[in-house]
Amino acid sequence: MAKQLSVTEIFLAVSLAASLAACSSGITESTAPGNVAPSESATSAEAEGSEGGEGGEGGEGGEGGADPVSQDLNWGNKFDQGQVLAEFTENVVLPKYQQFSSDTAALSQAIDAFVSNPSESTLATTRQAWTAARITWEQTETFAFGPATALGLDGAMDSWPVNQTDIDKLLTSTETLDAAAIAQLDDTQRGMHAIEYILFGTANNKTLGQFGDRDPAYLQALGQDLNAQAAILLASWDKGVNGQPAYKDVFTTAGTNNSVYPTLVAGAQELVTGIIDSLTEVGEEKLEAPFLAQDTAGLESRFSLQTMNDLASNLQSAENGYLGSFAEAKTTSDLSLSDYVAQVDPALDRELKSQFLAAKTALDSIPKPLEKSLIDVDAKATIEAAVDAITQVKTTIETKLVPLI
Amino acid sequence: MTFYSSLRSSKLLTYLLLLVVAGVAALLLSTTLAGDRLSWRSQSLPKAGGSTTINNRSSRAFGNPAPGLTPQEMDLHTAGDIAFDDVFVTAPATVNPGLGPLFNNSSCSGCHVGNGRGLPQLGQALVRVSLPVSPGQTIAPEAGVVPVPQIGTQLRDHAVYGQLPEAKIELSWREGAGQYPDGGSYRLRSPQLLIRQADPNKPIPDTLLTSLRIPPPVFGDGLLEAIPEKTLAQWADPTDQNSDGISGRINRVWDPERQGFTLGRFGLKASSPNLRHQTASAYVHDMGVSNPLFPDRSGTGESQTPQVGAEIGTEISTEISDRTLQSATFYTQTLGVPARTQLDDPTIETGEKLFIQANCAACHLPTIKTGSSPIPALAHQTIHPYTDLLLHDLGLGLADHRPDFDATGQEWRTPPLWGLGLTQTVLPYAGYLHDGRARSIEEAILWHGGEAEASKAQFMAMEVGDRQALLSFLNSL
Repeated sequence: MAKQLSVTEIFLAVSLAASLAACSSGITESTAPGNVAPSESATSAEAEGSEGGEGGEGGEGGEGGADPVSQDLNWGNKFDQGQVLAEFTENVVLPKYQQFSSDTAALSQAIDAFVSNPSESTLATTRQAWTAARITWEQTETFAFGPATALGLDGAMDSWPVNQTDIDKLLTSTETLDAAAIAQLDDTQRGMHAIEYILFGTANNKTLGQFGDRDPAYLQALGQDLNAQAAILLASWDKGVNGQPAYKDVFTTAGTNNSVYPTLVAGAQELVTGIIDSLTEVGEEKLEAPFLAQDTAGLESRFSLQTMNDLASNLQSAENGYLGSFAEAKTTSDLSLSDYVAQVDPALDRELKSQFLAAKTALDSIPKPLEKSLIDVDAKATIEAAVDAITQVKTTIETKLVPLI
Repeated sequence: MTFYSSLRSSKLLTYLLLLVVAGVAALLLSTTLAGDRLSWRSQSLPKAGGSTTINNRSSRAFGNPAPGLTPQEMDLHTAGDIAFDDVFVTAPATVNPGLGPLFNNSSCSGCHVGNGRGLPQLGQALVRVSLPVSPGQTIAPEAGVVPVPQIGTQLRDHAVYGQLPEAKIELSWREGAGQYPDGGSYRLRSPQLLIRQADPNKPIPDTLLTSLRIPPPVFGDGLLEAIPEKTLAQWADPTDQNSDGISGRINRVWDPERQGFTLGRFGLKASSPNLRHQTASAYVHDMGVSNPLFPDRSGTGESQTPQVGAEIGTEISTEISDRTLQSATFYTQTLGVPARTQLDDPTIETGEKLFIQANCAACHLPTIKTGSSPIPALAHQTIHPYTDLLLHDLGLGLADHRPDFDATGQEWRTPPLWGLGLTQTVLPYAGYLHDGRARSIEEAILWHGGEAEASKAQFMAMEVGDRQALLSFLNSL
């Protein structure tokens, strides 16, 4: 690499020379150009002085006319309350995954009861069990990092859309339909939405008489498969799977000789960006985008007409993350993110609590089902108000809470 | 010289002073110990992606739009974000039809989890295949390899209902033990593939060449795309003229849109010329989704060879539109690069010095300057990707023995190391190297051979504390 080395040499020379030049001329180079995100200057100001030239270059990003909009968040790099992560894990993550595991077990049992005795009553019970599991699952959105994604459990349980074409062919085939066979199927033929498709039809309109010969076997296998995945997810956080450490221990030891989260700030970023992402998912992706497109096909639980449950649960998940607890829980958190904020900026804590409440109220004001109200002009104002209220919480977190972390 | 051109746009005063002291500085450098040279260095490298750097060390670190995008660019990025997450299903379907009929996975994000790697397991990892070149045989320019009859250049081990996958693949691991000079022990594992015929019409030849690959991270790629070809050409030293044991070669690959050979930049052997090609290729090969660059809808067999040319620019119906391809490509071009962490940690600073001393930086170049770019935020940025984007012989231990265009069966493109420390934050249980065999950064270093043999030997000869410091540095990237 002859030429590479010479370039490196020259770069070293140039950089050193530039830093000498900067020092001797009193140039600190710490001023970020206007279009660079605030945190750029905050985190690197002390370091910029030695890299001659670079501080001035960001300005070139502005070529092309319109003002840039995308910005980095302005993390304060000051969070020091590790207990917040421990309490969140103990009081929200583990109980919610425990509850989800119980819910999927109950769903599997309800399916079995429905299959052995198909009636309007057992069908209704099974549908309720699906709804309960679904609500709990969507309340885990804020902590979807870690094993849920890495072990493929999110995909296996919540893949969307459903591959209707292949499922329909599978149901008219003679192939084995048991839990082992289901586990080999692609994700779009298993999980909650596949169960939803079989259980509810395509618009909560499936009658008892419309269940096909092989629907019961498929449903039972899907229920068992879902329950097995939910159990793995709980175990991955609580005990560890495949010889790996329990993920609760990975997350809650952030900042203590931990290669995954080397700093406490990194662990806190995981929690806070989890909250932000949940809010983005509800407000922008699941509500605003299909609303602007006037496209109900993009609503995730449209087969059961229960997309609004998904939205409300995602929003609740974000609030649970902030409060470090949830309403049904018997325990309360001794030190939540909210408590931390209250210590540093009590007014901000009050503001966020009231904005979460306003967002939940606004979302709840949209007439159900969303599958109808999304394209109903009479509901337009309620949808726009909900999007605004959710965006407001998100903006407050991004602009006021993030600098405290 | 790219550094000068950037400085031209910087402060004039700085530039003039620079000229005065540059000669003195160069003299100083020639006599200064490496350690002294580097004492300021770690403090100068926080902005890994220049002005597109993101401060986020969570599992979402690879998923943020680059700061500085215009509103229009941000709209395209957001559309690309959605496209990247879109899960394809079998046609006909209301939402996202077009999967397969043969595929490895059904979404971009199904493999590039959180825009980072995929796991070393089939469904995320995949197997590229080809045949040895027979005497007198010429390779089709657009293929770069000899495709396997009826199969092509990649084994799709999944199929939609009613179709047969191209092979049944079993992946297992063989483990062995090794020792540091100081007596410390380690274990390394390597993958073993068992490939069996799954379709009676698609025999698996005995001479099959295989290459197992995990999906690489996709953030920061727009910056790498904006590095001038001239810069890469300057670094190349194909015949090792300076006799440092390190060559560095450019791959020459086929660009179907230009219908000609060009510099290869992306992919584990730099066999893809640009991100639009890389993205389109992933749609058609990995998901069986036809697109404007690869319009064949069959998703089977020989269709894996690009069939463009005459059809470019004409109205053709493909399973995704050019707008979708454009947005997904733009998404991979405009994801921000996470900033380094713990810059003030003296151990990490020591590790960085050791990284340079062991000559790791000969290929994993710490600092590069991008050139012009149609995306203004990416233009003329000083970035710290730790790659030279060139091909290097990494020895027999890592060889896949499968040439790809000009890359030999022992060569790999230097992968960027930015964000390396976030690998298992974004994807717990993730592996390192092209096939994910390394379970830790330490194992990844120990697999280095060939041109990197001397650097590895230096690492192995270090005291355990120094080895840990070097690893801490890499984990801070």
